[in-house]
Amino acid sequence: MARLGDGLDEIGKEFVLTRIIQMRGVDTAVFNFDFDLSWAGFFLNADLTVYGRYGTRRDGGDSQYSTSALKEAMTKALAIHKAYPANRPSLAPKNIKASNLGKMPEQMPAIEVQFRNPDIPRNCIHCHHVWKGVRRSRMADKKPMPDNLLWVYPMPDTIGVTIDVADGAKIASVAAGTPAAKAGAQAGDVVLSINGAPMFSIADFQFVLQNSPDQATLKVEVQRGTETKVLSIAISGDWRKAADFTWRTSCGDLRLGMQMESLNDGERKAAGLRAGGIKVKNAWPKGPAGMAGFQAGDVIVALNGQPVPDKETDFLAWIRQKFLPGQKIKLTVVRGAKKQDISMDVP
Amino acid sequence: MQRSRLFASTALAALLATFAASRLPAGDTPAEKRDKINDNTEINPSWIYDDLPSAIAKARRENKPIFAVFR
Repeated sequence: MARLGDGLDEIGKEFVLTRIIQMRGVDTAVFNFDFDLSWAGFFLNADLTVYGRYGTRRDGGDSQYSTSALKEAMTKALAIHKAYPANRPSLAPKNIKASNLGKMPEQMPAIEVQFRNPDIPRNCIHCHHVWKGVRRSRMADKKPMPDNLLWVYPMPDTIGVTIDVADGAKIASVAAGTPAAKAGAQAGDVVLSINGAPMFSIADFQFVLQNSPDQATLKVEVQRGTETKVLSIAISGDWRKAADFTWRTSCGDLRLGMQMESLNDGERKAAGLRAGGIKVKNAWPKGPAGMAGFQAGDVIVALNGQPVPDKETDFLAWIRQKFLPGQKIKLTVVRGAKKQDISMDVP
Repeated sequence: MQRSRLFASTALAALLATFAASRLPAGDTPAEKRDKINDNTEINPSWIYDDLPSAIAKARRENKPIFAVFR
């Protein structure tokens, strides 16, 4: 092995290193991760039991990666491997098989036709195509989108903690009034396990959250100084919905063929609004919205007569959870000084 | 897979530049191998490239965990 630097060369020798460059043929039941990542790592046994994950994006950026946290995760993976298979039951929360995965991407019914044929050039199945395939299957079945297919792989922030990126398991901050704060989490606590599964990284944390029901109590074991404590973090309601998902490459299919952006105070006032409203940033001419007549700069003030949310994430979630593909909707827009209705079918 | 501009500028990118190398089918020239992995990293024979069954077999043989990188 060539020199890896940063102290990772030696520990790298303790693993069988493999790189998977595209999703064709990949069993997504095993390799279940946040498919909008640009880089993701898995630590596994040869029987494909997942020991842990590494790799997290926030708002489209890569601020959540660090060499030190990766090395820490690799160290923990080696310890898990040494104790395997006696510790296998504790790994169950890291090996949950999502009901909407479990297929190779090219076998998903709604995946693009070109991806099914390996002989067509330039048909590499990217990671984010997996989310697209899952969501398109849902849309083809005329079903509303559940929270965990919109706000995928929630960050620990959604329950009130941020994790130290350089460490991967230490709580950097706890937001007041959140489920984590109510359970007694403190900055400096080191997360050892969640629901009994050892935590290696923010990605591990996200996997547990992704696979949690909308209402649950997470048993979070933390190290606080010399003490070990178990915190019961109760989550319920709309806890997933704090995040913005519009940075995700995979969310293109959720759009109506246009990108939107929040209004500033002046734009809102000019549109005659006190709250809500959202601006069309661009409408692709040959997309559903463009064909229906939307233009960049239009301010959407109502949908079927109801005020619209002021964030694109909330707007798209509303569309995908309350309306089904093929359903006709009427959007009221302000263009210049003129108000008009534009009707279109939900794509 | 998506490419990351920011990530490439981090220390971890140095790791990846070497980690990203893989064991490729015999006969591929270094240029062909680089083209297959769609980047300019050096090819490193310590890595198994796009061949999970081989990685599994090696992990069993050597009693090592697998580190699988998606990029």
